[in-house]
Amino acid sequence: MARGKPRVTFSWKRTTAGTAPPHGYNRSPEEQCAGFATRKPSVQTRANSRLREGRSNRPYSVSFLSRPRNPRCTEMTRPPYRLAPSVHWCTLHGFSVILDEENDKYLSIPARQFEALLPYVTSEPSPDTTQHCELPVELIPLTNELLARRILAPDGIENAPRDNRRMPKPERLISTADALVPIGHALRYGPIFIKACTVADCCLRFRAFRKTTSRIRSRKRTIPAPSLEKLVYLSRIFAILRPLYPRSYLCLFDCLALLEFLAYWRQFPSWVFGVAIDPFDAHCWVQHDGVVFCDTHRFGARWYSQILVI
Amino acid sequence: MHHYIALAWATNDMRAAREARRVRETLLQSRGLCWRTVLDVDGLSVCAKSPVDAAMCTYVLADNLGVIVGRLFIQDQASTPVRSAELPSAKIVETNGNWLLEHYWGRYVAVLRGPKGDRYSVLRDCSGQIPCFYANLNGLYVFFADVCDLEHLDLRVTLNERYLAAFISRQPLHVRETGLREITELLAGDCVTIEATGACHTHMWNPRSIVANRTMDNYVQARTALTGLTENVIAAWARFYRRILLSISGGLDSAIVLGCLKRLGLADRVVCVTQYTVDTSDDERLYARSAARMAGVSLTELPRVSDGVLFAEKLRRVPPDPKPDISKTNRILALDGLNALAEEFGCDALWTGQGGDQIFLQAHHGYGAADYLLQHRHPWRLPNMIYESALLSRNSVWSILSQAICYRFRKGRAPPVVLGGRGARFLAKSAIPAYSEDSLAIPWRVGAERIPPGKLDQLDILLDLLNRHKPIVGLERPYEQHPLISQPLIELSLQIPTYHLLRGGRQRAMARDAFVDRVPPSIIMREDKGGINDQVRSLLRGSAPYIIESLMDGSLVSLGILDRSSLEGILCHEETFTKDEQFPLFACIAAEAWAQNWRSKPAPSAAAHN
Repeated sequence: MARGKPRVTFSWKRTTAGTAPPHGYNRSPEEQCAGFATRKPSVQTRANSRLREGRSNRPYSVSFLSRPRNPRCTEMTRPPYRLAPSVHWCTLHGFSVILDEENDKYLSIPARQFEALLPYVTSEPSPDTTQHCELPVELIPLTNELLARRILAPDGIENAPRDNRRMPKPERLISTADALVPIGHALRYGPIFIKACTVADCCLRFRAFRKTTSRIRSRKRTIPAPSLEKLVYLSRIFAILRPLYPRSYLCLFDCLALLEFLAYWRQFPSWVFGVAIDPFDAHCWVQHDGVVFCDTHRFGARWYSQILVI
Repeated sequence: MHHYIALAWATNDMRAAREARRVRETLLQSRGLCWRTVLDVDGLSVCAKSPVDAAMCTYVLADNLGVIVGRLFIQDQASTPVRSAELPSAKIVETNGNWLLEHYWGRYVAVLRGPKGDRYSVLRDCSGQIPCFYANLNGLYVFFADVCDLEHLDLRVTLNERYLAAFISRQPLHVRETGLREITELLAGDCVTIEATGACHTHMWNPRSIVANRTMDNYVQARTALTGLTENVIAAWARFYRRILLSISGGLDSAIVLGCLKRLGLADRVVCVTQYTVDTSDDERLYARSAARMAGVSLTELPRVSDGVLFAEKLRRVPPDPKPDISKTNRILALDGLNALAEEFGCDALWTGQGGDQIFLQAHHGYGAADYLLQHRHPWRLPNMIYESALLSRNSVWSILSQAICYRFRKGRAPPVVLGGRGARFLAKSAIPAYSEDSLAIPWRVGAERIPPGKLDQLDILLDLLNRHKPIVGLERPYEQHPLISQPLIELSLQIPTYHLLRGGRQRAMARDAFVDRVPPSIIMREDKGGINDQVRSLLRGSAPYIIESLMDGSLVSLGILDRSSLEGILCHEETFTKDEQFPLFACIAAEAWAQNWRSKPAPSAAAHN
């Protein structure tokens, strides 16, 4: 409900990654897993053109290829802005949720407002000689805010192609409950486990998130598909050894550590990020086909809509 | 649900005596077909309705020493039902009801008269399944289960803004105060004694002493006792019903109830129902089907109502109660479907598996190792305990070890009370309740320094379990019941150390082990839990017009309790909310619907303070 002058409000907060819970305090895995902003920024702006609103109870994602074309942008003109390649988004339950890899933040915008902006945003680089179509006045405050936060960039800047992959729906969770590996046997993998956890720890503490994800991406490019059997076996080993590393569960850390552990044996499953709305929550897990390898007790991967797959 | 009204007054208070007589006559005349006098002596008068529930009855103690409404069983192997003549009235009264707690169990409210007639006590059993509230009308104490039964009394009530604000900002909230200033609740296990000097509340049922003095540290013995006692209490309640409609979710607890009914040879008297949300991750029908198949009972699948418009309409139908209740706002949606099923199959009871999480212990904390170290002088199995606690809590073994050592040497703080919700965000600044920590202190935590932290945590969740269920009077047919919430089972669970209940680093591990032959393997192995997020979201967004209209310009905003601007963004679909805000948001909706219901009722009417 807009009131008078369009008002744009953002509230960003990053939870501190890597802090152990205070003594005697146990947070649920969901509380610990958010390594990103969990506060729900809201953007209020006046939108005269109402595009498709999310009415269904199903979460869904919209790719740029299927966005509606605005009649103001013709063959002689192009959308004036592009979404930064480090930005990923999905729409669910009436909200568009954006993950900004570069700044390690989440943002949620009412879907009708974001989708009103979509026709003026492209995902491909363009030659400088093309004219840009005109942005409606009512979208200017939103656009300016997104430009300031580098979610959008003016068109014409060369950027890397976007990765819009999605994984199949999770169907099975590998947990310690069905681990049949003796602890003594698992301890033989101890040194590699410690190294993997240390690398993950250092990445989270001292490296920008974007660099970490880029490293994971680049590692996968030339490697064949992982073996499910090996993944199951190794992830069980990891789950058995996990309590030995002095860090409480945090989905981001656990996923990264597992990926590093599996990388030693040249196994590279996918790292999946998901979000939920109403209530808002962010989560990540490791997945190969429909099998999830690193998740909470409650098989949370089922309840999130995928926003980024690495 | 058992309707009763007990009137107690000082024998030398003539005015109160006249008022009591007037009330009793009004009751019998206005609803003479339903109400009957159970006891009428100087200083005490008790009326009760014929119970709809076949398990409920009324016991009159010898020498008119009191009345017990509900159902009692002897605490023995067979859980034999009790008859009035068998009750040792004098001992019960002498011990102020303590004898009942120690030798009997069931669902009851006991109204006792001191032998000299100068003292009255009302005791509510620890399962909390029969509500008990009271009001003081100028020296006449009126005890009741359903506030609608008082409509013919001259009872003027005022909204308790402080309670409403606390209800929104702190969840769960279980205090004796209610949303109406003039009405007080007896919590589960509470006893109120009325003498010439006034009323005195005590907490009669003491779970701390059970934990401190009785420990069953042998795993095999505890597991056997758990199996036997669970069957025992289920058999005790099942004997009163022709046919039971059992609501199974696909989870472990309801599957255990079903498995026990099957083992007792009662499967032919059971009909199962499961609720599901279509095409979402909340769908647990596969598990429910496997449980029904294993027990050989029929299963009806009922889609969850997610219609926001219907939700708004049903909210207006919630009967008045002294306290607002979030769970009722959800339960009321399923009532029509469940009532219809119960009528179709001729069921006179609706059961659930509620209580299993707290009794069998669904927990993800790491206190098992600390509890073990506190209770063993030679902790040979400490490394195993530490590892299992680390697996369960997803902390490292080092933090679990450090925590256990700190508790062992008494330097650890008591586990924090888990209070959900950041509801204070929705409150007007002036409404932030000024409850002292003492008034909100959990009574069982007082003087509980020697209780292991895992057991303290269990006491906290039990407090919520035993005080949260309230029947939806007049709309539930039959009333929802929870056979697992029974005193013997609760006390047994308190005696079993947490490291046995969570053995192997799995929640409800002992229950999985104890009932492995009665529950399908898929449910035994299941670690995840279902949820109702999709339904909740649909209800909230689908009923937005009603919620916006009622909350933004409703009673709570006009009373200065809610801050309109903090709700605006969320309700108008401009902002999403976090998990911490979900419960407080529904608390706002429940509290507003509750306040509006009260304000629209002619009598007892409610006026805002000031």
